[in-house]
Amino acid sequence: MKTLKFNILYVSCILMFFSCANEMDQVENLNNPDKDQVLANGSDLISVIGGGYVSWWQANNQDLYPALAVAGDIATCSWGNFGMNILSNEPRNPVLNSASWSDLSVLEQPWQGNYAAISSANDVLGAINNNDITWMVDGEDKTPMVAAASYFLRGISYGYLGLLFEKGFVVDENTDLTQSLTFATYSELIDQAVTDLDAAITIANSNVFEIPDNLINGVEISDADLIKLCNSFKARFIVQSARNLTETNAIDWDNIKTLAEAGITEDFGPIGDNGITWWTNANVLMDSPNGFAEFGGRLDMRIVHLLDPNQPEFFPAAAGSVLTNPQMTTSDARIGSGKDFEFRPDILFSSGRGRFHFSHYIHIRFLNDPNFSDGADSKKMQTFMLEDNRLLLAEAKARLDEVGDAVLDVNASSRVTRGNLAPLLITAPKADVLDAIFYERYIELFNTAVGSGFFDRRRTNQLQVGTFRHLPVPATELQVLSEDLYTLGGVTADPTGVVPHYNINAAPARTNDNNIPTFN
Amino acid sequence: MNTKLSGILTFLLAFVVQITFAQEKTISGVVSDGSGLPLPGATVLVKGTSQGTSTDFDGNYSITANQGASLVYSFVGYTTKEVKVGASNTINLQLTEDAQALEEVVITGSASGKSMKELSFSLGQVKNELLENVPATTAASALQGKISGVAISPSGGQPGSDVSIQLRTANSLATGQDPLIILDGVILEGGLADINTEDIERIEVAKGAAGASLYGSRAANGVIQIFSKRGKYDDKINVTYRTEIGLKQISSRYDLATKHYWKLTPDGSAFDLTTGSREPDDDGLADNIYPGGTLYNYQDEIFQNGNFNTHYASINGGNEKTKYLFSYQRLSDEGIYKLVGNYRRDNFRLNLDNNLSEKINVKSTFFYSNSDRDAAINSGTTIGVLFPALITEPIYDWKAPNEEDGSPYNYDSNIYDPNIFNPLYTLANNDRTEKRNRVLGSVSMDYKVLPWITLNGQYSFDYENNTFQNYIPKGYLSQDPDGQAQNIGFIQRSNFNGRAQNIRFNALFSDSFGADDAFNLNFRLSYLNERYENEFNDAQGYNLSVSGISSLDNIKDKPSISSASEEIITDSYFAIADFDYKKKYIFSGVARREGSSLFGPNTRWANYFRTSAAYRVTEDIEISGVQELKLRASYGTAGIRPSYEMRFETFQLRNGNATKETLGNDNLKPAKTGELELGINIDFLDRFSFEFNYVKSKTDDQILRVPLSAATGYKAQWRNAGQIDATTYEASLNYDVITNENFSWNLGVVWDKSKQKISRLDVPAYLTGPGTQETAIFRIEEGQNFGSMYGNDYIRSLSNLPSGLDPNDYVVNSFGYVVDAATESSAVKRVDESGNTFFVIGDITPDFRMGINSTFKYKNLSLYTLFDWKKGGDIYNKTKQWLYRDRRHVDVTNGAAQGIPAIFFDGTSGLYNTNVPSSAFVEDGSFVKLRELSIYYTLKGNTLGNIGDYLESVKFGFVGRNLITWTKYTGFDPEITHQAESSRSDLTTRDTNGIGNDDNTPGGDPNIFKVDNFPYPTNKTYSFSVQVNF
Repeated sequence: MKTLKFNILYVSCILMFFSCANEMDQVENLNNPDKDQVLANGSDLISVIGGGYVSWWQANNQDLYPALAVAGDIATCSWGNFGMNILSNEPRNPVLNSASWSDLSVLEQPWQGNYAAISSANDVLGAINNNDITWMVDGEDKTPMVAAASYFLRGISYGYLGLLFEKGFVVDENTDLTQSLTFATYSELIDQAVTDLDAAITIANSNVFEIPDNLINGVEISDADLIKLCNSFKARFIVQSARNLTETNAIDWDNIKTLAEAGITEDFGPIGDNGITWWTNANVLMDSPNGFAEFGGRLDMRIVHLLDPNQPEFFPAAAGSVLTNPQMTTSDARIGSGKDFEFRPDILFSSGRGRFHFSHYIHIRFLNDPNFSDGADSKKMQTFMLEDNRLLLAEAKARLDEVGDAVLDVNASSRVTRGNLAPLLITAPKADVLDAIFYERYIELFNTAVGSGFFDRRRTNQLQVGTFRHLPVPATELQVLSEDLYTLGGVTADPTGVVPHYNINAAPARTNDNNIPTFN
Repeated sequence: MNTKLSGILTFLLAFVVQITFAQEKTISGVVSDGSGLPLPGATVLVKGTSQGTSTDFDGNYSITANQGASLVYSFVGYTTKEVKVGASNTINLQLTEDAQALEEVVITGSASGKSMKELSFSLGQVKNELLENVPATTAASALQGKISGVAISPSGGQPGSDVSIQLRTANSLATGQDPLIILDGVILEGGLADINTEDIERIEVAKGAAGASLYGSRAANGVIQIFSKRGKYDDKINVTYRTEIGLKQISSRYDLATKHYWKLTPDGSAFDLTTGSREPDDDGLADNIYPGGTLYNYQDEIFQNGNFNTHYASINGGNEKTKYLFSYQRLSDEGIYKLVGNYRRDNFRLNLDNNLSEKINVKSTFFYSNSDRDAAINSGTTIGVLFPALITEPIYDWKAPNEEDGSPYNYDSNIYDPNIFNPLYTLANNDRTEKRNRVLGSVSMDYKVLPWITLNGQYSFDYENNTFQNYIPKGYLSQDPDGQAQNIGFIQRSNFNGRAQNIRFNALFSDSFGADDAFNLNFRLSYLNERYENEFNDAQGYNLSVSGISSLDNIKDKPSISSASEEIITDSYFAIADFDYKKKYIFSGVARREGSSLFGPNTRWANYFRTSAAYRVTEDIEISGVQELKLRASYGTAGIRPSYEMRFETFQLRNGNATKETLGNDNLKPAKTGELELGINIDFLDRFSFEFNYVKSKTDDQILRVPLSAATGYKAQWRNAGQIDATTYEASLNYDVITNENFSWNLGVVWDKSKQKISRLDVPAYLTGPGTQETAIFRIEEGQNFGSMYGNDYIRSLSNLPSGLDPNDYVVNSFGYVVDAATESSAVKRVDESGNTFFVIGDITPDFRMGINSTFKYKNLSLYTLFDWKKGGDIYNKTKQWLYRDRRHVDVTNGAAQGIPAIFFDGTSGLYNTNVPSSAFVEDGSFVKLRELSIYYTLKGNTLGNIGDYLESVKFGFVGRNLITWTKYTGFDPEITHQAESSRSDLTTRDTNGIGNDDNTPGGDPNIFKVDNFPYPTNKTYSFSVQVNF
């Protein structure tokens, strides 16, 4: 029995020696940090904001990008990817807002991504405002820079939510997320965006700083640059969030003029990094090897018609039909071989998917313009072009009946500098000036900021019948909230209630050239 | 102790009486085995006494006994013989091998090893004999069709790929069905792909919690224990050499369209390009002949008959102190794709057993495997070779040179669909190399403290090192596989190191007591410490400065880098007691407490138990014709572990920026299965043995990715949030049809039927799938079977027309679909009252599976066959859906012959349905397969003539695998190949292996997600083998 006792003792000792209960508790995740880790040190906050900018970028420039372009009749593509087929169909379909939709990412990415960015900004602002975390480098307080970058990030995220969605939540660093949240309207989201951008301006006005170039890839932003950017984005959000012409007309254009005048003085956008982080899906709407190459989306015929009114607005629907003269005749220097838009004799889309996808022109500006990226190169991915700001300013002036001043802006714009088009006469009527502004908005800003053409069509009642005016809250979020599912868009309903829709019975779906749907 | 003492006294008394009154004499002789070789260590006992001796090294013995007494000769693994002592003083005896006795001792799930007859739960076993017939390339495939309740989903198909194993039902919604695999006591972390089968002695399979509770939180999906051969006590060295040389080929070619629907010039000599592009013909029928005359067969251009060969040699022997087995295997396999490098593998094994003293035994195992392969083929995805080979119209010359640089395989030959590139160019120029190193081993020491106490300690390890290199040279013309690399080149190098170490201590108490030692108890206390660490590093970049150099230093643009590491520590304490009364009433109990760093800090420890009982009826009641009847019941619990990062709150770091990913969960615990198994074993008519199990299990606390409101900033949180209820019926029958000395025929049948249902789901229903483009087809919804497919349902009867449609406007076409009468082109989808168009359209659950193996022996000739039958179970044929898109499927031309326009198949309104899942591509996956066949002829003894002086035996054989498949399934093969996550065949990102990354089901689940999406086709093989024993 002694031996037995000894052995049991011996075994127990070994067991205790090897027991690793404590070690088990000490296992940490060495790959990815948690909230406490990333928010504990002032110097680490910048990486959280950096992550927030990545979230914001990927939210708005991935799957959503081509979906909005084709729904807005800016680009055209028959492929099913990114919801392009469903959302470009004629007659228009409702958004398939269901967890079963294989392209639900079109809704989920901007929804979740913008809120992820807001959440990053809230975490950092909470650390700074509520927990008094600061970041000092060699006696210099970098906290205001971080705070300004956070407000800017939160502002542009709310701005995009307001541009895109029917409704959303407003949460800041003080919101109790354990309580159920109520939806705010898109106007309230835009208001929050403006408030945050103003907060960024306030900090920038009283501090000197440089936001480093690894937040928005390759772009260093000084306090003065930040103020300009905030002003331009405020102008964009206020103008582009108008859901129809009535709302456009109700905009305080004086304010827009002020904002645009104090806006950006150079192009803004992250530098492409081969798609590692700063990826964009604009490349499916061009002949980019990273998109669908030759099969990429083409220039919608409505844009082709804008460039050359002799071209039809719609590709003839009849089987085997061709364009009598598919090549445009235009004096715009941006059209032609090796220019922004190039003619292709072939059409690679299948006619079975609808000839309304057909077009002979494709975008190749990234090949020839050192300042225009397809995301896979190391050039600037144009997110807010100087031209865009100039055109917002010109539009504000025109709508304020300062038409002569507007003409000067238009003539200083890409219309003349890149398009080589004739300058407008100083006496040009307001309608012509507005036409010239929108011409540039559609042509020069093609494949730049997400939704640019879509938002312009929306605020001028130019969207095709049945096109969603804005996106519904994604089905997956509604399920989490236990809310009823709903959707928007489709020719047979007007669920948005924003614009009196065209009566579909009076204009059945276009099946041939003589039955072009009416735009409202 | 009193009983023991009185036993000893009785024995002593009897001994004294013997000595006093008997007529003694000394008997001596030699004990040998069936082939005449001496058996050292055999026991010789005088019956009814405990007087005995054992044979020496040469099999000699000497014992004193009375004339008329009986001597009992026994040796482990041999049939015990009794001989009466006669007049002679010499008794030489041959013992014959008792195959049954040898095979029936099983280890898994019991305290110290038990015979199958004494088990109180079900345990599957594959014996060496069955494995040797048709040696599988990897150990896991060897299980197929041989044990009931085992489903093997073929791997990526490419040589060197691992397989996915499911035992009984699927128990986990999100983390896969992989069982725990143990090889010679080593818990395998790196899969089975490296392990060759020639070394395997037997495989034991505990299929669910009822048998595997002992193994805790990794055992809910069952446990597979593999035992390699050990050295044998012999006076000579046994050398075996086996070689197999064979041919692999694809089972069948895919039927593709050879006609098209494009408009031609009036003379038919060219496509009509007057509109700038090809336009559909006016009749819309895909019945036009391709202009130009030559039709290329791309399947012929990519597939080959691949050679493979194996060489295996083993040396085996030992003495009283030391036994050893050393083996080497080389495998070389060309695979069935052209321009893909061989898979080559070298395996070394050394098994050593040492008796250091009477009380101390040391057993050690070392295994090293080294392999490399050209990881060129992705299966189960539209990326790679098969997609372009099937979908490209047969009019382009793939072998023509590139006009750019004169290199072969014109990369952009496809002028009408320039998005699809020539895969031959990619295969020839893009190098994807995978190299694997694997070292496995264990050292185990037994110390017999007292006859009834044994202490044991074991250290085991599994180390793997994999490297992957993807090199696209500078000047590479094609955009496939990576448009960014076109012209400028690309290099990726990644490596993965995994190191698993286990330390184990056991204390085993074995004793018998009571009258006649009627009560038997084996009790084991164990401690196990598992430690697993891995690291992954990846660096890649574009734009190479110098041609032909694949070093990372050759990258001009900023490279992207990534790394990850994991550490998992687990501690387990467990106790197991096996108790029986006269081996008639059998009880067994297990308790295990396990703590793991994978569980949340608040739920760090989990408890498991099993209790089981069996009653061997025939020990009490004699039933005519029945040799054995055992009734069993077992209930056990076991777990499924979360994976490494699931419990942590994570911010994803990418290029130094942190973004929110998942919200941590300090309460995350393992999913827990409770399994009840009721079974019966019956051996009857001396020829049949039959087993049946009814199994019911519930797996609660499913580990699921629960979506969160976007307002939180986190995408999701892993929580315990659901339950699966599952039922299995399984049966096996073994029938010795004929057992003559010269002529025998054995038949084995295994059968099972199982299904699993999601009985509770605490998250909204969601879709998931293998993770490749547009394959999230499987609906996870409360009340549905796990494996239900979800999509649009094309109606096949006018009575199902959605409300509001006039039946007069619709007809049923010759493909059986309701289409609009005017155009006969648009198939109609089912719509319910609420306007919903998504329904359950299929279910992977088979009606049953069955395997039939037969071994027929006549003298030196043996014939073995294995048939595998799966009845029912749907497959989603995504390949067909893609081929409809481009009118490449033969249905489109068959349809044209019946006047059905191509638009019925392609486009948005056609069955292609813009790639949205639909009932049109759900097919019955039933099949019967002649999976294995072998014919052997063995020469030994006299038949070898003079050579017999040097050789013991020579065995010639023909071996066939997957020779014939009977199925109505229209794809390549109803066994869908999928790149298994564990194969690590594509180390492209740190989080997963690239393929198979659906957020809700990391790594995919090849057992459940039966999606045919351009799979690596299953192949058949024919080979010849020669085995020589020296």
